[in-house]
Amino acid sequence: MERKNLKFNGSFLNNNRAYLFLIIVLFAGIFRNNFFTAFNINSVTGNGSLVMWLGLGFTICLIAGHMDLTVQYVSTLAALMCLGLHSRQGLPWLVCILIATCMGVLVGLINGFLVTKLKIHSFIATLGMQFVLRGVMYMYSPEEQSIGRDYSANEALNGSLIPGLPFSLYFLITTLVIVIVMVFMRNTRTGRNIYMVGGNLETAWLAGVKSNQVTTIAFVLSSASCALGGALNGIYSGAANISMGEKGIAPLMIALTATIIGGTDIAGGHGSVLNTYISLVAVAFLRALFKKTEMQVLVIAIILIACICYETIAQYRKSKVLGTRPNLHLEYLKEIGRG
Amino acid sequence: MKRKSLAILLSVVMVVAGCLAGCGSSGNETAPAQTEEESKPADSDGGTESEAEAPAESTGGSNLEESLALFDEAVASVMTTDGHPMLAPGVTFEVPAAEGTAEELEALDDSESAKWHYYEHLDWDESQDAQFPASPADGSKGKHVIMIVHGAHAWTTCFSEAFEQACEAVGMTCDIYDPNWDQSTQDGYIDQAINEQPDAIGVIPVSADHAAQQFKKITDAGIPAFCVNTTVNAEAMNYVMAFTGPNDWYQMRTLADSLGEAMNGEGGVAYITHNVGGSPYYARCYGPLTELAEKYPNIKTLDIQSPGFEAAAVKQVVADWITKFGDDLNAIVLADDSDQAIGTVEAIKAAGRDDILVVAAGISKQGAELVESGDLYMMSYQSCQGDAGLAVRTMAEYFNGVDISRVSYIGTDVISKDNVADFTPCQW
Amino acid sequence: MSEQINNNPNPAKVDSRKTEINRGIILFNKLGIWVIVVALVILGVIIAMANGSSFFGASNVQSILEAVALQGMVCSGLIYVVYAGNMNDMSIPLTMAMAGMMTVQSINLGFPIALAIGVLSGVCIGLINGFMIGKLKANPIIWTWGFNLLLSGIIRVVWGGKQLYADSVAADTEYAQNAANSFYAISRTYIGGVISLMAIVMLVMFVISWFIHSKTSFGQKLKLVGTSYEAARFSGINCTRVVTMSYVLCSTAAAVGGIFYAALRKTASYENGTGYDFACLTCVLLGGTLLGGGQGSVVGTLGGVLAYGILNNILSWVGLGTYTKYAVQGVVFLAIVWINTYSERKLGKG
Repeated sequence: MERKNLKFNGSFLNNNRAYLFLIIVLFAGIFRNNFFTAFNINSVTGNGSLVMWLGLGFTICLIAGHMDLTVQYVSTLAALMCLGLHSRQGLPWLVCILIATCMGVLVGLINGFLVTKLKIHSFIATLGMQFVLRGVMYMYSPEEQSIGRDYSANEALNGSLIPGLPFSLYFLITTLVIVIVMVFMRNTRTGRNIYMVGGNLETAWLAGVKSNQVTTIAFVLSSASCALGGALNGIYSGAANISMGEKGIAPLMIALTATIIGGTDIAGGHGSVLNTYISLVAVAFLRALFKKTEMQVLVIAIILIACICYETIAQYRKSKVLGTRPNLHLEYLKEIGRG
Repeated sequence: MKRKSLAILLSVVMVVAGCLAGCGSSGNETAPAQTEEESKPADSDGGTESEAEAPAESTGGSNLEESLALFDEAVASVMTTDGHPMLAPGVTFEVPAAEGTAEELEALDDSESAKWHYYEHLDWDESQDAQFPASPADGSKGKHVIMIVHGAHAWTTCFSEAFEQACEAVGMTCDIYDPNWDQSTQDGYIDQAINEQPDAIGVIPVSADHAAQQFKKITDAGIPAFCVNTTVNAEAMNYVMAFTGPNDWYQMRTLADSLGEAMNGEGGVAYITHNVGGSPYYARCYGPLTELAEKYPNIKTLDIQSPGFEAAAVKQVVADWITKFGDDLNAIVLADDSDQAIGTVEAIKAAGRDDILVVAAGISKQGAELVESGDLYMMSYQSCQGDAGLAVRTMAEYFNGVDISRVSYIGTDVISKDNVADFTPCQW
Repeated sequence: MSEQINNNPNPAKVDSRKTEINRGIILFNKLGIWVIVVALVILGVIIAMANGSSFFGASNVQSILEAVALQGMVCSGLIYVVYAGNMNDMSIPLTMAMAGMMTVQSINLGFPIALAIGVLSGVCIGLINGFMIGKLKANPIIWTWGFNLLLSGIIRVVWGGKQLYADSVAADTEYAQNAANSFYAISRTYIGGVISLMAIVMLVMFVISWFIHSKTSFGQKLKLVGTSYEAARFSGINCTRVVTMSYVLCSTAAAVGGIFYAALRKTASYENGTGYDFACLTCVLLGGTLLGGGQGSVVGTLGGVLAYGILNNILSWVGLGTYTKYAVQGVVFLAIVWINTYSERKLGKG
């Protein structure tokens, strides 16, 4: 194996831009009063956790080469179901969370079926599912904005495990699950197959990967994690709102932004769940820096556009060089420090 | 090489964005926030700020006198755009006794007025009240308040500007946070607001149901919480220092009375609602519905729809109604006099049905124009700037140590073609 | 077919796939959505009769036409983007909002100039999209989505999240006030007292769109680019220009729609046009345009727009609430797209 090149150059910066982003945001926080208080850190990470789950789901799907637009609605429906089951049917919390997550698995299976069997493009299939889920949500809780308003477990998720640690239990669970998923994606056969299917579907199929099965697993993982996150968020904030995220900055948009900032390849096959997570933490702190929603939108948009432009132009340059003179491409790779 | 420079460009953009964040936020928000620290128990990073030369170092007494003078002047001089005093005193209403427990009422039919008792009246058990922070009674001058509104809308813009204007008039500084109609974002902003440690926090809750938790959080942090504009449920009132806002139910009932009279007590009415679940949803749909059912039993309710606030969508709903119900449709009650009214009037005009009476909750510029042209039969007067003014008035009174009423409503009126001139130019 | 490969030693590998194209599929592709439109109209007539009124009543036809007018305007341009194989232009909502904002903001210059500025803003957005996607080959969905967010941020910050009213922006001169009034009037004019100007504009835009699509060399090039980008490139077509052009057309149409939208609402704000990206895509796909590009027609798109309007109309006839409609729309959407994709595969694409 070649020695890993740890030169501090443009490529290194680019590969770790999520960390760079986090550092800059935290640095900017020094100029802000009351920014690094335990209360602030606790509330910022807690309130930002829902989007971390969505980012997790979105990233898994994007690695598999698909887009999952349902993430936001799955999590809202799961939150509604979880709180609704507890307050209406009186089921214990664990069962509620389990049922909500099963709902997520079901949605994931349907998504997977639509994409792999009916061969509908994932963007369109999940778009249609979005409408269906919205309808289901309104049918489940007619004329009531928040059917669940249950604060019995709210304290538990808000509190922290170790006294003095400024993180809520909810955020810690989020982090834990994301680390587990990361290990799964990197070190298990299925996880690596997801990368393979996303990178090149045909090659993966020729190599004997059951591509349909793997794609479905990616969708199920995505929906299930969003449902679990949504259910936990419902308990964390104590209430679920049917129109969650329909106005203002859509959580889906933030998840997409963070996925791109985290360096996940838009075409699939490359990316890391952890990087998305890091950039989502950074986005959460960024939102605490700017109190005005307008500025939040603008700054997030500028960063997203900068990342897309960067990726696109890099790709464009590569396509200019690639194939015309193979050696030139090697030279190019060497120059950017990847040779 | 190019790739490297691009990466550097990218990081420069990020650095600039980050610095902007730091400078922008520390520039315009923190300085006023820290001027008033002597009344607080402990300031975590007071050392970094040299606030000793701030004017608020003076003793409470003279500040109080100055504040009271400012207050009187503000009440007399600050006017709304339509020429009414902005900081007018609030109005209170009698709260009748509930006709049963909450569960019993919940089982009643939608058209029964009694069912909505707890929606209509702020009727709560005062013995359950939380421990509110006592008034500092050292004057409103130099106080910093944070107002968390519900979301971006023309109404909100007007409200925010009026709120800033009124705050300035009584010597307070304010920050306004806008969560864009999202409940979880509002939760986040409430945490942010508590973290800033202001002297008071005002909230327009996005969701009436969830408000209890939000106000509890603020009151638990030792900051007085003021509920503005949107009514909340009984449980939440235990954590609310004071509520100010319009009496939506009363207004809509008055409006419904006039409508019932104009319809001669018969015909069919259809309703277009506000955002499902918020307090205006109940007030502006079930307020007139129950009133009409009670006083004019021959008036039928045809349909209730929630197409949102898009003129085109409302237009389609109304056009479909006109085709579906035909001559049975005699009146439409709207929850909003801007987009909803425009869509409705368009649809009615397109169908050539000038016999349909339209009433709406107001008052916006578009609505006033429609009343003037006669397309809108009547609407309620809900002063947006008056709403902001009353909230500021109540907060200032609290800081001045005056006893404040826990619930106060803004003045109300019904606008028809005859008196619309008194309420123009419109506030928003 | 099977005789040709009979000498294959391994009979299990006989290629048994059908090579003929099912006639029904072809027919469906040709007639496409108009079959559904007719079916929906018949359904509508039946339901209307059950309700005791007429589906073809002037008011109902008018209401359907008006309800779809704005969507139709946007769709007449969106079809080029879908046709070129770029899936969807996600920046449609903010293009509409931006056009409305620019028009209202420049109303003091006079009505025609304000309109021109509004449309011009759409052209600019289209050019930027076209440059990024046509020239630099950015991912069409991600780029337009991100650009949408950027535009939203810009509009929110520049105008401070406010709504603009034409008559308060207009200076206190007769010229400016007249401009504001004629701006409001465009969404409220009825030609001959019956058909609204919006519906006429929509039809005119479809005619222009049809002309560009089927009668100009750009239209022919677009067909090749949509069918096979590589083949088009190797046959000497300037693909970059074609793709850019498709985005410019799309954004221009969206801008026109946005101006009418702002006039209808009497306000311009950043939230104008929310939801139009997906609704219009639904119409275009309903019209038989394939997501992969290279298939579809402007006439079909008009059918798709009408079908969407009639479906909505019927759903409210049946008495479904606003929210239950979502589920029905979603299922219908998925079913249509599935038929679309299925026929695409049977035709040998995708």
